[in-house]
Amino acid sequence: MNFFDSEDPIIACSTSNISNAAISIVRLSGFHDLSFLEDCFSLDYKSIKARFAHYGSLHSKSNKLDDIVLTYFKGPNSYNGENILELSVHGNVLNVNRIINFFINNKNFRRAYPGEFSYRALRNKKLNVSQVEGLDLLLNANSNFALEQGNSLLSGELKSSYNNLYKNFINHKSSLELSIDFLEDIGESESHRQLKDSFNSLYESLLSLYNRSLANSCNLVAPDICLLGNPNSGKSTFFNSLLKFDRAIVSNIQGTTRDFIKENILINEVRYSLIDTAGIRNTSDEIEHIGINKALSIFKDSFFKILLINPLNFSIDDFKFDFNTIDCFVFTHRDLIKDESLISSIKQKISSRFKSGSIEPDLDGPIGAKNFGPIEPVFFNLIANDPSEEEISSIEILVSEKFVNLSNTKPILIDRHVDVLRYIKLLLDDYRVVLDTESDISIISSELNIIGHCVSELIGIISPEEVLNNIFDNFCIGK
Amino acid sequence: MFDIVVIGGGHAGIEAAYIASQFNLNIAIITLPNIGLASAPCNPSVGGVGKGQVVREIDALGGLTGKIADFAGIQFRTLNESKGYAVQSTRIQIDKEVYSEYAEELISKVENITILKEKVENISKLDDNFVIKTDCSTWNSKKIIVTVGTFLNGKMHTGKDISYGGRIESESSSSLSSIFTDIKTVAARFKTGTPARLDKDSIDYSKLEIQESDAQVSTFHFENDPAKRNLRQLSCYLARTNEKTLDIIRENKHNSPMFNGSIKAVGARYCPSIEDKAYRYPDKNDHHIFIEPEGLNTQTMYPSGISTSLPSDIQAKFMKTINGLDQCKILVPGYAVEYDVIDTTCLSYGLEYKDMKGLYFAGQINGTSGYEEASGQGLIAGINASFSLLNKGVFKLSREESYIGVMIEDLISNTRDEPYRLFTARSENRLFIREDNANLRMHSYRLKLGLNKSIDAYNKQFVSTHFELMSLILENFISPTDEFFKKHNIKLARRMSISELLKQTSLDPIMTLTEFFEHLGLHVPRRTVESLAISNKYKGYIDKANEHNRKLSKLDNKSLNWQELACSENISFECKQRIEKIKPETFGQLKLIEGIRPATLAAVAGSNL
Repeated sequence: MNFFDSEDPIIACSTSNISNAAISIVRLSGFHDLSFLEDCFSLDYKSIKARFAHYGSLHSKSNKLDDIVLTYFKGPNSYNGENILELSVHGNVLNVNRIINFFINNKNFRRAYPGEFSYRALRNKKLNVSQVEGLDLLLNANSNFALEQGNSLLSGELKSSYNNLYKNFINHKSSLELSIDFLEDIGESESHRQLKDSFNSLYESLLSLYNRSLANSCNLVAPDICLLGNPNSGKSTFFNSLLKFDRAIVSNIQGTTRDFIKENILINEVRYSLIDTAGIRNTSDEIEHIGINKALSIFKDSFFKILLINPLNFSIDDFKFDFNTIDCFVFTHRDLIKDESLISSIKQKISSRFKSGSIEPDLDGPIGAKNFGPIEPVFFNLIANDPSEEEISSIEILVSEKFVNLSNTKPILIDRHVDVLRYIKLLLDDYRVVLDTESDISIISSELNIIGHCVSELIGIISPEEVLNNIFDNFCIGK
Repeated sequence: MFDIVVIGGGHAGIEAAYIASQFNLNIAIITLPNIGLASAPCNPSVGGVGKGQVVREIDALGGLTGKIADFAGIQFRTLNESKGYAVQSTRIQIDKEVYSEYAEELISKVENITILKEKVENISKLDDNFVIKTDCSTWNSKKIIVTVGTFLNGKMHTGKDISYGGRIESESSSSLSSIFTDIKTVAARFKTGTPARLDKDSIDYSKLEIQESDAQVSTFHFENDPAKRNLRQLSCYLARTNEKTLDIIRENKHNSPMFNGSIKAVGARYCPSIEDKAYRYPDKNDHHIFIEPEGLNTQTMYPSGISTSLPSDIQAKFMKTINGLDQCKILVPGYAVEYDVIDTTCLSYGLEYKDMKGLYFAGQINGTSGYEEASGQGLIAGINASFSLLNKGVFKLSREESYIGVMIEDLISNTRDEPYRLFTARSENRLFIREDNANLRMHSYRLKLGLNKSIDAYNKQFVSTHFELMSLILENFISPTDEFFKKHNIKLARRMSISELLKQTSLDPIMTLTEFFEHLGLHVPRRTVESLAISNKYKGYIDKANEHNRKLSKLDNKSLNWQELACSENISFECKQRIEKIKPETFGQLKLIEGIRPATLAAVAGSNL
């Protein structure tokens, strides 16, 4: 069932309707004219001026529904090009629903599908696809950064990077065509040189976009901070400390936390999800086992990974994954440790699990995200029940800095784009081999055409006319 | 009363007339007196990159160009030889006189074609038919195909000398606008140019690089043995310009009609005059010039690459700076001609003028350049005019399967702002649209003509043999110990099918397959072997490309109701304007229109129009 060519009048609540608010906005779109207001609005519909706020009351027969402020946007000068009516109503959830139902049952409106208003904007060419995607990002952003990306997409910054890719692609395609249709005009060695040069430029521009897409988009739009550790390593305590209230249940019994617990936490205006997990150990308890698998899975994909270690009860073999990915090691139960060497021997064991580089045991050690991998791991020595303000804030600083570093590389967040870019890189890597080894240029050209289709998903269709135009404008050919 | 009258006896005209005559209709060609049929006013060659394929398509559909070119061919070459089979093209230098005489001979032999050498003065419509008044008679016809080339308001420039005509020594027809006041032409006039012709005895060939005729190159026409050469073969020669040459040209910019404003017409960017090259690329002085003979018995040589409209004395001056041409004598100076061109967006797929049924246009009048492009259009117009009389619908070639199809669709989908020429780059299906498999590609189209000539039997045989042998090479295996390899000194890694054997990069597929058939004692014609070997080589790639294309082009064949689109509220004003102008019949055609927004395409794709 699709609504692609539907022209029905639609209605929806444009503000969140999950809990009561002071004001909610109900939006109606696609109606032919305002005549449907004749018998339900206190003002004469003919007197309603576009883009002016009108105060009046909505009623159904003789029942008053609500006092509202009504604004009319006459198409095509509206968000999606159709006639739009925005009603500011009292934001009681029940009230909003009653008003929406009234229009559905009496006035031939139907409930809009998710995204349908924006879809109509796209259809009426008020927005293009990238802008819609940007809008999506804008509406769903968890951080300033994502907000900015959303904005920049709406205004086309990403588009200009793509235009660069497009230009390089056309140049390479042109040089291929040149060596087929115009070989006699430019000569063998020149054509060969141009092929190589244009391919290198193309690959470079793709690579820079590709690198930007490598950042796991989920991590930046809705970053997780995940706590992992053996049972009783102090995770839940630590969790509550970071959160600054007692959300997780803490006890001495191993296996207290079985499921994972997720709460929002704000650090430097960025919203993260802080996750407490089940303690990792070998167990025969089925439910605990499920919880453990869940913990490992969440940890694997999370943005900031913290491993908590109780030196008195640390089983390093329970953690089979790559330690290089862990951002921070926190030692707990400090007050119970009498023997310093216990801690250093654990640090040794951890070091040996690292594939490269040494570890920084320093609290204030340098933090630098190299590629998009983990920061140099940091070790904290912590008291069991009472981390100080400073200690909490240093952890927060670590998280924040990783986030900022990652954001500074201007990653690409739109899933569709990320997929296409990765696919193009794969294709180009294969194509490079073909270019170097294949002597039949029509085969090379055919492979490039396939890549062209993918590239056009980002930047639009490339027609033969454009390639020819590029050749004529930039190369000296012809008898 | 004629069934079809063809106006203009050039390459487009003779193809149109000939194919139409095959349907037993009453045909006439009206052409200016003193001009031979199918003359070659510019480059004396047929074929080339993108064009050799067209000639083969015409041949596979029963046209004349390939046959005449073979007959008059004096030098045969394969272009792009090292680039792979799909882009190789045959190019034949022709003896202009022999070409034209042979064309005239072939046409005269056809009983139902009448050749009239008269000047057309007026054409008008009477009910459903046309009345043609010439300078000495009046004729009636049901259909008219206009193939007048560059003759419409043709104006020639050689420096300050201006004369009227479509080419040297011919009169011009008066403007089409005065014949049909309602026919839309392109706002800008087009121009084409031609170089000076040199005296062949005044050139020092020892200083030039020689290019001999290649005996390995296959002929175009299906009835001819691939190695057949009718005439004695000649060579072409390569010369180069130098700094002195370009200096003279640059110094004389004010004398060039192209650049001093006398000619405002638009030339083709891919066929620039030497002035274009001189002024656009100030740093480049070394340009190639191919010196081509115009005939076995003609005195003139054609220097390809230096077309010009500078004054004749300047032409002489810069020619003499070229190494090998220092003593050259100019027999005919080069000139540029500007002419009127039809707005092809007014034409249907059958090249019929949409607002005046029964009127067809083909050839350079449509803004194309090249004899092959003209011939292809003539063929299409001729078939469609005939089909219309026989109530057989529209004959249309798909752009997925032929260059002719690409050309027609490109022409009717967009207003041209410069002369149109075929390049392989225009087709998205280069691997599939080749010279060697023209008969395979055109077979089903030729069948639609419902004729029974030798080409029909040939196509049928070619196709069935092809598929039989294709099965043979796919299903039969060969092992490393086979006799065949010892004889030909080939090493094979393991047992494989013949098809796979032919794909080995160390082997030449055509040679290997030829030897293999000999080994089996099978006598397979050369053209069949070539086509089979090449098709086999590309099969995997073609399938892969088709897979990708299919996803994209599922929508292309969806037919549209352009009138409803033009009133749709979901389409922007500019897009609606373009739709009204071009009246696209399919989604694929809509896509081609310049300036159509993606949102429009999305709206149409999702709609029921």
